[in-house]
Amino acid sequence: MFTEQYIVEHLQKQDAQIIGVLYDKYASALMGIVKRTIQNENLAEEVLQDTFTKIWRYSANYDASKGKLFTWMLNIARNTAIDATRAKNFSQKNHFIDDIVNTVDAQNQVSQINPDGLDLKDLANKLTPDLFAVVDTIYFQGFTHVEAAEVLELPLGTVKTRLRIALKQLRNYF
Amino acid sequence: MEVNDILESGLLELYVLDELSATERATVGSWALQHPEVKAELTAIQSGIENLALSQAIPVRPNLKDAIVSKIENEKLDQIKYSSSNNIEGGVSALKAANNFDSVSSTNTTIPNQHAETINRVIAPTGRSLSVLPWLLCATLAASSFYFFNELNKERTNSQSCELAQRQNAKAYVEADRALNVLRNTTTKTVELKGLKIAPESKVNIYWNAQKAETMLAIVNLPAPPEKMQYQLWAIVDKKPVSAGVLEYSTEMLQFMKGFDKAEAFAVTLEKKGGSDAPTLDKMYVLGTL
Repeated sequence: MFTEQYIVEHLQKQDAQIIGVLYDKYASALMGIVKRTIQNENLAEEVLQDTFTKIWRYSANYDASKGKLFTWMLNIARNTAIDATRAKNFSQKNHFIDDIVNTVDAQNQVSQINPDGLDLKDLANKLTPDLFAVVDTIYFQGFTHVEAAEVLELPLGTVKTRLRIALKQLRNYF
Repeated sequence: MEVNDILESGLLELYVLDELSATERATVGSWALQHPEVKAELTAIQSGIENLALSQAIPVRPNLKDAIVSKIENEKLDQIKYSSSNNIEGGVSALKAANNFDSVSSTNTTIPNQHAETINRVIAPTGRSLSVLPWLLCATLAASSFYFFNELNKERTNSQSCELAQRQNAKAYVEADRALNVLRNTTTKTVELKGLKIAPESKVNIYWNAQKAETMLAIVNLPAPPEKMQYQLWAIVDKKPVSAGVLEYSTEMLQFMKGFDKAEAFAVTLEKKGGSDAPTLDKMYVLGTL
């Protein structure tokens, strides 16, 4: 198998062969992130394409001492997705709490495709609603923690603490 | 800060999610170097988030792979052509803008080409309210990317001028995209720097996003600088002036200045060409406090 180090090396050498490897290894995980914000199939595929193009184009900026490649790519995917939705709809924020509910429902269908995975509803059940709301807003919806504090009407400190507790609790489930 | 306080602060999670300002990122980075516990925790958080991502993975249509691979292979061909004919300076600033882990770009970026000038002219209409800017920028961006797209699809005619246009459009696109990101961010503030005694009619606008440490500047009105002199932007941080770079004298563009995650005020002074280490206070033209 290809190690992360091998992939990084070839990515930074701009060896186009590595894209296929990268795709096989990470595309479905990145798609999971993208689909959390963008339900439209075509748009989601477009965003996934943009994500890979950015990963390729900006690979020189990736610094292994500062974090893992996968985390770096996840952040790119999330930012690309959120940019796409914001470009499309500036007022998206106002609807997002309804969206959480809708998407939780939508993701239940996804669980049929991905029976081994822990679907979003399972995830929501592992956490208290307070904690889940923070993870969902920041991690999946791609809001900044400052924006999250605003939409959830919570003090910034509370958002940080809840994010920490939630991610820590989730670690135990994998 | 005690190690335990660091671990419980919530900052490490935000670091992994690329949510911190440049300064905060640097702080967390230094903690990680000092304390093995912090480093271990960062790794654990990353693994947790990766597992979270994997648990939510969604299978992708198999055909998409070919599309993505061939798109990138084409891009590689273009890169080879670009780098063989000229430098790729625009790409470098794009890299900095897009970098998730690296410290924030402090480059004073300007767009030295005709097409970009056009964009700037459209996006920085003097004196017009900021609220229309994102829309104008959006429209221009769309037009420019459409143009760029068409250019790319023109069967790669090997004419030099076509390649030049492609490259310049790519640069303009990246810059405009970055500017758009700052302008449409709800946390971006507009700071009006008003003329002081020396030239009361002067006005400069700053579009400042503390969170992303991005600072953009538009000259609304400033007297033309004398020869061998240049305007310089200063941010007042913790009561001390810090240079944010020298200004290109043009009322028709938005320019990126050095980014700041905190500042109490911004001011522009007239300095020798290339800028000074400390502001010449009696040559302060505009000032705006937060």
